[in-house]
Amino acid sequence: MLQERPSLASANPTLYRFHPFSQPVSFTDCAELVEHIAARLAGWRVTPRHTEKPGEEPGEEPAAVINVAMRGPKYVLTSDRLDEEEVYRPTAHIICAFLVELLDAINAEMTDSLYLHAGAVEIDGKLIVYPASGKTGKSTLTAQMARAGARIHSDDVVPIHLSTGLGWSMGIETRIRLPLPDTIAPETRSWIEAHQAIASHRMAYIGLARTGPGSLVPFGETRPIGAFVRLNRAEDVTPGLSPCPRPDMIRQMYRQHFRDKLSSLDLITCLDNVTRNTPCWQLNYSGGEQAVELMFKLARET
Amino acid sequence: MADPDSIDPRKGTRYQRHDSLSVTIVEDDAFIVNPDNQDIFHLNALGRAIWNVLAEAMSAGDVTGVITEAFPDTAPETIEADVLAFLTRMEKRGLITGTPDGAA
Repeated sequence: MLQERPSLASANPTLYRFHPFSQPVSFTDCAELVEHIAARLAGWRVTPRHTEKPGEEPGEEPAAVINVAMRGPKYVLTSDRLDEEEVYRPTAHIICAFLVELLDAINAEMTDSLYLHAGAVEIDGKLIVYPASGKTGKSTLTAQMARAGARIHSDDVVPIHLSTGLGWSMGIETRIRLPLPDTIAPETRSWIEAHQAIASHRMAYIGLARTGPGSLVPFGETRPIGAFVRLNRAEDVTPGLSPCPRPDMIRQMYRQHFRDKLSSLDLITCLDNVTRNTPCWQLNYSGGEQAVELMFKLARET
Repeated sequence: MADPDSIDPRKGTRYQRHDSLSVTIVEDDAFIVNPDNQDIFHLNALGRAIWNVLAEAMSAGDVTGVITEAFPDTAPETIEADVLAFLTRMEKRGLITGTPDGAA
């Protein structure tokens, strides 16, 4: 939660920490944005840095690795990773871009995990992890799983501890693309619209409770992985679950591997290890409601 | 089955895998990592069998003969085509070496 909002009367950047990320980030003339970002997170602690080390001289401040500043009505984003500044207008878009940079920085800092492009939901204390690239509908599916009562670990990036094989939560709200597909059921559409926390014409963050069924799991909480699922959505497919050969799942996973520092051999070894004792399935479905039903069926039987 | 020598795209060439590559076996398949460029190659059961055969230098025809015996349910013509495609692809990617027969 955001603590002690500082005065931002001047144009000087204010440094913040997004614990547990160790490096400072800066915001200039956009304190409300910090509050919006903090509200999208669970289990993170967002603090103005001056409240941590009040005796420290200004000259000792470390440089921020991510910077956001207002320029007129637009937000300007720079970071150590970006070659040039990026400019955004809708608040939802700068939140998304900032969180991408933050995740990248976390990835570089927390090297004890493998990061997959995947969704992950918790049912009965175990995770179902579904690796998939962007624009495959995994975020909308994740929102539908929340509506059905699954706890949400991630709709985009799933870290897996290399040493334990446990999945852990990023504690970031699900972001779905808009407009919603025509195929989505009216009740689901209504639920999503009712839970939109902040939105633009292209995207919306889904506000979830922080505890209980259908909630967002806080950053860092770990769970065993009950199953890996390859999503296969097609109009003419027979809905159901079928075993997915482990080599096929490994291929799917290393294609969705999220820019970390592992060598390819370490990556393959890790994927071999994490899939060795975990069932791998293919989920064939044509609509999200089918997928939700099958995922819960899988969780009950795993 | 065709005369083994007639199917070798480079007649008289013997192929052998690079033993410096890392191989991870996953069930019937294998994943090969090229440490020079970090590329990952997935081999299905047939590819893995060819890879195993290439522990020793062999012509394409010899490889096809061994694999045809190992996969009696697969049409020899299919195996021939797969072996040639495999050798071409793997040589192009630097995972096997083709050496003219008789070369030192």
